[in-house]
Amino acid sequence: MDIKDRLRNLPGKKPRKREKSNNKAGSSQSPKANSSTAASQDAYLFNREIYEPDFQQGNYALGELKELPLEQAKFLFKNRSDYQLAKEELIFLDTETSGLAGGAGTVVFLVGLGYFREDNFILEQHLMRDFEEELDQLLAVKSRLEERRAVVSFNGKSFDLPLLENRFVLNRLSFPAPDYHLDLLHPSRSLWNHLPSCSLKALERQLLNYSRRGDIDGSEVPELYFSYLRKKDMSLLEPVLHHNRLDIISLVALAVHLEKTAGSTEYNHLSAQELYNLGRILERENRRQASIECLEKSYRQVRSTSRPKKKMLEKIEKNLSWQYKRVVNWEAAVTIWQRMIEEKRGEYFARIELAKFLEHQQADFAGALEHSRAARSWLFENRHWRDDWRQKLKEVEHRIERLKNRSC
Amino acid sequence: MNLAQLREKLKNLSSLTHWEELPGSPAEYADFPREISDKICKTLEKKGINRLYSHQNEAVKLALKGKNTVVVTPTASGKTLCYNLPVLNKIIEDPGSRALYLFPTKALSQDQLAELHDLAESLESGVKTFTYDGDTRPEVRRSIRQAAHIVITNPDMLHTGILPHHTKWVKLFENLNYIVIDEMHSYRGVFGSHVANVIRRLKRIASFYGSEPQFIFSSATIANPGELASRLAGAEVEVVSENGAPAGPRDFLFYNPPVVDRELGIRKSYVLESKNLARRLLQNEISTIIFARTRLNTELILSYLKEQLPSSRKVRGYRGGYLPRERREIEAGLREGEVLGVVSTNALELGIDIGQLEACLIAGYPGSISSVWQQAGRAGRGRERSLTILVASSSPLDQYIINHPEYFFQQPPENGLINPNNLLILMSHIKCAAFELPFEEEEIFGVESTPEILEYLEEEGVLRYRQGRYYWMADKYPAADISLRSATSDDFSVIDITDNNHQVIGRVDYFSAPTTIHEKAIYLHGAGQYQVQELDFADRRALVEEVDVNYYTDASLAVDLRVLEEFETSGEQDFNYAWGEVSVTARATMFKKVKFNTHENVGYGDINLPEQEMHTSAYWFTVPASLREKLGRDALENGLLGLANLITNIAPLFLLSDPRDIKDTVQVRAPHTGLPTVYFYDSYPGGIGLSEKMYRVHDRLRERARELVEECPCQQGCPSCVGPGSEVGLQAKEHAVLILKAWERKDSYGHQRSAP
Repeated sequence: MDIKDRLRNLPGKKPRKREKSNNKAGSSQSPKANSSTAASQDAYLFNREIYEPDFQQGNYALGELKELPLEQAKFLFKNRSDYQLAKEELIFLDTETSGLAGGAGTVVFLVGLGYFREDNFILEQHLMRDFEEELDQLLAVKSRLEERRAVVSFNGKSFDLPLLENRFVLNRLSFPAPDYHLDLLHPSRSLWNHLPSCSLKALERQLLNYSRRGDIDGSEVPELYFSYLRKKDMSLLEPVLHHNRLDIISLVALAVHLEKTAGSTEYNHLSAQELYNLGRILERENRRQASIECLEKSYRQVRSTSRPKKKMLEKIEKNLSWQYKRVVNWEAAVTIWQRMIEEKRGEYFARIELAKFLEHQQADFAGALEHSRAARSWLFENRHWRDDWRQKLKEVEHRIERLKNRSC
Repeated sequence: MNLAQLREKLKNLSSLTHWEELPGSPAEYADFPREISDKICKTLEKKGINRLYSHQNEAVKLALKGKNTVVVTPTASGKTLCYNLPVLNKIIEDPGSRALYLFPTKALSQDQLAELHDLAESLESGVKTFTYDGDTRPEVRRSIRQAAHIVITNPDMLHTGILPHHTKWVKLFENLNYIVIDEMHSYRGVFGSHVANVIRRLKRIASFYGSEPQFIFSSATIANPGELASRLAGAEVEVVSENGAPAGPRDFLFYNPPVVDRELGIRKSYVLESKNLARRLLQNEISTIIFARTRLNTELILSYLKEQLPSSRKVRGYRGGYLPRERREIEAGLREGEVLGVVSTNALELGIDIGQLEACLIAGYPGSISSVWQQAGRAGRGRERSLTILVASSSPLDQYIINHPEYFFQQPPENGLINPNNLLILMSHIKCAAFELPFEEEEIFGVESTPEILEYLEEEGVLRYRQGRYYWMADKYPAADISLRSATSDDFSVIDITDNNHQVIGRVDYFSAPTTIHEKAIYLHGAGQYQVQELDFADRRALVEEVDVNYYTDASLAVDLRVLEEFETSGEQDFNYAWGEVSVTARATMFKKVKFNTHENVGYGDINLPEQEMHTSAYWFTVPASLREKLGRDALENGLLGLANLITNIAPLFLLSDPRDIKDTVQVRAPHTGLPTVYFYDSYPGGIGLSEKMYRVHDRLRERARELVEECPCQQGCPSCVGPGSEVGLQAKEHAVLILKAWERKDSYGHQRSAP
C-alpha cells in the first residue's frame, strides 16, 4: 500500500480540514495618519505611517508624552534604572504571532514598532508574508531595535520579547536585547487592580475614553494568518494590521495616562481607589510620607461622598492607621481607631489595636482590658461571619489573661 | 534459624519443582583508565574505590574513545560509574561541556541525582547537576537552563518541556557531549518506540546547534542490548556485557502451588502460598524482599504479614503512589537493616539503592526472564550465600517456566522490541519535530519515506511548504497532545466520581477502551478497584466508582481480520506461516466476571459499543484443510482457539511484552490462505514489532506450546494451557495437540525428504 494511503487510514482524529474563511474583514477604520508608505520590497512587507503630535487616541494626543517620559512614574516599574530616558530613546513594540502557547514553532509574523522623531510619531509594521521572509524581517527589526535603548510594551516581558528572542535564536542571529524594558502591564495592574479587567482594550475603554470599533479579538489572529497564507489574500490580514496599529498607539496613550496618574505630586485628579492603590505601591517603595498623603487624600474623598462605601473606608482606615503607627503618629492612629469603633467598622481590629496601644504605650491596663473584652464579645457575636474566629478568640483570651495579671 | 539452617528445612518442601545452586564468581578488577583525571581518581580513592571492575573499565574506555556504548549489567554492579566517569571527566576537562541524563521515571532521577550530586560535590570542581522535570520550581528553571552541566530528566519532560522550547536551552544544545540513557530495557514496545523518536528529535536539535552527542546506555540483561540501543540511538552502539562485579553463591528455588482441583486445573493461590513462604523467612529474621505483580497483591501480602508477624519484625510496603519522602525512608530503613522485609511491585526492580538483602521471593513470574534476574539480584550480600524463590501463578507462562527450569537457566533473556517507524508514532513525532524546526525538503527523519510523510502533512494543511522547507502551520502545540505512553492521541479519560471531587485517575487508549472500560467493567488502578458506571464514547470519558469485589472483568471481542499485504512467508502448501499488514475490525460483544486466583466465571454481561478498525501487523500460520474434514468445523475451530490462547500466552517467552500486547483470532476457512488459520496481531495500530518477531521464532513457539500443553496435568483444558474447557470446548486441548503434532510430522517429513 502506498504510504499516503496508509497515513490516511491511521486511526484517531484527522487533522482539521481547511475551513472556509468566514472572517468579516472588519470595517477597517484605519487611524488617520498624515502620510503613509507601504514598501513592498522583495524581502518582506514594510508599512510606515507618520502621525503628527496632535493625533488623538481617546483623551490623549501622542504629543503629550513628555520630554522625559515616565520620569515621575518610574517607581511603578520593577527593575527600573535611575537613568533618565529621553522620549527619543523609547521604542514601542507589539507583535502578532501564529500561536498563543509559545514554543519554537510559534512565529512572530508581524512586529509593530513605534518611535518619536522630531515630535512626529512613526509607526512601522514589519510583516513576514510567508515563512521564507522571516530572516529579512528580523534583520530589519534588529537594526531598528538597536537604535533605541528602551522598549515599551504591554505584557512584552512574558510574551512578545521571549517569542521574538526565540525567532532570533532559530535564525542564529544575536538578539538585540534592549537596555531597558518598560512593560506597562505591571504598573497598570497595580494601579487599576480594582477594574474588572486589565487588558489593553479594557484599559482604553475605562481610562483613555477610547473604544475600538470593528476590531478583532487577539485570539483570532493565528487563524487569520493561516487563512491568509493559504489564500494569499492580503485583505484577510488588514484587520490584523489594523489591530496591531491600534495597540501601538494605545501604548503611547497609556504611557501618557500612567505618567499623568502617578507622575504629578498633587494627585488631585485621581479617584479614591487609584489613590489607595498608589498609596500601597508607594508603601512598598518605602516612600512612607508620600504613601500617607495618598491614603489621606483617598480617605478624605471617600468620607466626603454622601454615602461612603463601608468596605472601602475600612480598607483605607486599616492601612492608614498602620502607616501612622509606623511613623509613630499615635494621635492620628488613635483617632482613626476610635472613629472605626464609633461608626462600627472593623471593630475587632480597632479594639485590638487600641488595646495594644493602651497596654504598651500608655501602661493603661484597665483600658486595654476593657477593649480586649469588647473585642472578645464582638468576635463571639460575629463568629458566623469569620472562619478564623476560634483562633482569634484564643488570641484575645490570651491577651485578656495577661492584662488581668498586669492590672492587679 | 539462620539462612543456612532454614535452607536444609526448605529441602523438604514438596511443591518445589526445581533447586538450582548457582556458584558465585570472584570480582575482576582493572585500573582506572589513564585518561581519567587524577582529581577524579583521588576523589574516588577517598570514597574507598581504588580501582574499577573490569566491565566499568571497558565501558569507560569505549566512551572515552568516542564510541556509543551500552553496558549490560545485573543489579548492584556499579553501573553508574560507567557513565558518570566519562561525563565528569569531560566536564572537568572542559567546563563548557554539557550532558543530558534520561531516566524512565521521576523517582529514579531523584535517586540518581543524590548519588551524582555527592560525587560531583566531592570533586570540588563546580560541576552543577540538576533535575529538570514537572516538579522543578519555575524560579530555578532559568538558572538550570543556563548553568547546569548535567541535566537529569525523563523522556516525557524532554518531549513536552525541553525540545519544543529548545531556544531557551541554547547553552545545553550547543555543548551537548553526552546523552546518558539509564534503564534502557524499559524503553520497549509503544513507550520505547516513542522514545526512539524523541531521541531522533533530540539529535536533530543538537545538530542544529552544531553538536553531535555521544550515547552511553545502561541496561538490565536482555537478549538484544546492542540492537535495542542502536535502534534507540539511530547509530552503531558497542556492547559491554562481561560483568566484573563479584557475586556470592545463590540458591534458586522454583515453587509450584499444589493442584487442588484436577479437573478444572485449579491450583492453590500463589499469593497465599507466597505469603506463607515469606512469613517463614521473616520469622527467622532473614531479610527478604517480596516482589508482587500488582499493587493490589502488594497490599494483600503486606497486610497478611503484618497481621501474622510479631511487631519486632518490621515489614514495609513499597510501590508507586507512595510519597517520595516515605520511599526515601523505607530505602534507608532497608539499607541500615532497620526494616527486615519489604513487599514491593517492580518499582524496586530498577536501580534504587536499598543495599542487599538475604532472600528474594518472587510472587508470580514477572513476565520476563530478564525481570526475574533483576529481582533476584536484590538478594545477595557480597560473598554470602543468598536465596531466591520463584512462586508460579496458574497462568500458562508461569506454568511453563516453573516446569522448565532448564529453559529458564539456559535461555538468553527476551528481546526488547521497538518499532520507531510505526507510522502513527512516527507521524506524531514528525509533527513535533516540524514544530521545533522546519524540515528541509530532502531531510530524513529515521525513514527514507520522510519526504512522502511531509507531503502528506502538507496536503492536510498541518505543514506549509515554501522554497525547499516545510513549516509548522497550526496554532497548537503538537507535543501536548501526544503521550509517550500510548499509541494514539485519542485517549479516554477515566474519572473517579466516588465522591464529589471528580478526578481523572487514568487514561485508556482508544483501542483498549471497549474491552477495559465498557460499562460495568472493573478497572484496576493503583491499589483500588473501580467499576465503570458510564462510558461516554463520544466525549471519550468513563465515569467510575470505587468498589470492593473479588472478581475482574474480561471482555470478548468479535474480530474480523483481513490481510492487506504479506511481507514474508515460509513453509509449504498446507503448512505455511507468514507475517504482514492486516486490517482488524473489532467489536466488543460481552464480558465475563472472573474470580481472582481461581479464574472461575461468576457472571456475564453485554457490551454495546461501536466497532473499531485498525491497521497493524500480524503473524499467522495455517493448518491442513484435511483436519476440517477429520474433526468437523466446530471441533477444529475450538482446537484453533485453544492453540491461539496457548501461543498468545507463551509468546512473552520470546518478547519483552505483556500478553495483552498480542491478540489472536482464528479463521476456519481464511479468505487469504484458503486454509484454517490462526492469527496473532500487535494490539497497537501500526504494530510495534511483536508479530514479526513471532514469525521469526515460529518453530520455537510451536515447540514451547507443545511442551506446555502436553505437560499440563489438567484433563480437558484449563486456564494454564488452552483455556478452561467451559470456554473452548472439552476437546480443545486434545485437538490443539493434534494440530501441533501435524506440524511436527511435517517437520520430520520435510527433514527426511531433504536428507541426502
